[in-house]
Amino acid sequence: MSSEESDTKAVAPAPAPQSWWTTVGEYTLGKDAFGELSQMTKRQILFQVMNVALVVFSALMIWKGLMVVTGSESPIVVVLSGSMEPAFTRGDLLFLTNDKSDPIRVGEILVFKVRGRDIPIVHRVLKLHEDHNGNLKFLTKGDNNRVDDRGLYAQDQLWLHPDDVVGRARAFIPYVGIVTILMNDFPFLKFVLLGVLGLYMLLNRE
Amino acid sequence: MHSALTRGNAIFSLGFTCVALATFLCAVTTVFENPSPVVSVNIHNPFVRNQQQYHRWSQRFDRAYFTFDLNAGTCMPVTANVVASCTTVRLRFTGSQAVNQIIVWDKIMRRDIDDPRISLRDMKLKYPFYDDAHGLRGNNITLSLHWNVVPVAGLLPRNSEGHVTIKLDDQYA
Repeated sequence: MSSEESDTKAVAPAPAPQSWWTTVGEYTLGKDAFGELSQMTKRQILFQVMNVALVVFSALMIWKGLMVVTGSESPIVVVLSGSMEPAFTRGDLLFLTNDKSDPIRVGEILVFKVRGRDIPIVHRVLKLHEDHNGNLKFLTKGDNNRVDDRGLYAQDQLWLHPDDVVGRARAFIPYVGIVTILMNDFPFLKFVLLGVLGLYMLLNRE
Repeated sequence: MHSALTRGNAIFSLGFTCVALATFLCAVTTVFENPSPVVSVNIHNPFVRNQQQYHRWSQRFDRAYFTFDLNAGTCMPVTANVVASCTTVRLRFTGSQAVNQIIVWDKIMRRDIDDPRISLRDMKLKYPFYDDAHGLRGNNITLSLHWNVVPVAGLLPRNSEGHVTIKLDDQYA
């Protein structure tokens, strides 16, 4: 857009200074945008804040709702390692369910947490035993690993139990989770993204 | 007016919507696709031994050995929405516990790279076949083929076909 155009539209009588933000446009995150914020009434600012809160809480509700429906403590996970290649690569997104009434069987792809470690692991069940009381124990292995997971488990842990399971892989979308991986690798990206989003939502009047 | 930001935003959201739609359509193509290959399995020379397991040298477990033949047609759907098929040979057995299952052999077949058919003769077990205690002698074992198609995007179905059951010796070899 040319600067003449913005001049004719400008409400303020004083000519706008020729700095980069005014020439780019009215709605950039420059002076005009902040000017808009200062023109808002208290009621409008409050409304804007509530809008932001609405979005945040809706996201939270959807996440919690998914947890209830799927029975898994984290229904969507990002694959963090290449141990299941070529099936899953780093950055793929997995949808999990954890239906307790449908028993875990060999060959299923599980997401589990090893005692004492927070990072969930995605691997396939290799070996499984269930006793007459229904107590289940199983051993997992990554498709791309040469040996089973006993070396990954906690000290003296030979088997996994259903309590360790976060969920069972049911559906899959490639690459989407790479954003999460980038944000984990470079934490400042998280703040940049959050800041930009927050600012954009606060300053946008619609 | 349309600033660079609004235009960028519009292009991004249009592109994102298109990619999401394409992904969804791609995922739909394999939902109703269920290949059912002809599978034949055979077990040869089964015998049972009483052995130590590498992670617990102080204890002995039943360990069975056998070789198997496996012939199977292609178990990959023909749509484009397939990356690989993870084929596993699963063994169910009556052992020391109520439910006992292990994978004795597996292979990942990538689309357009590996041959989607399987033809194995006198194959040895890739993973050792241990019972959890001493429950193998004189009991049945059942071998079957299972596969798990990994799509480009979409559901992760699991299928199985073909099985053979034999009875193990009631003596240690």
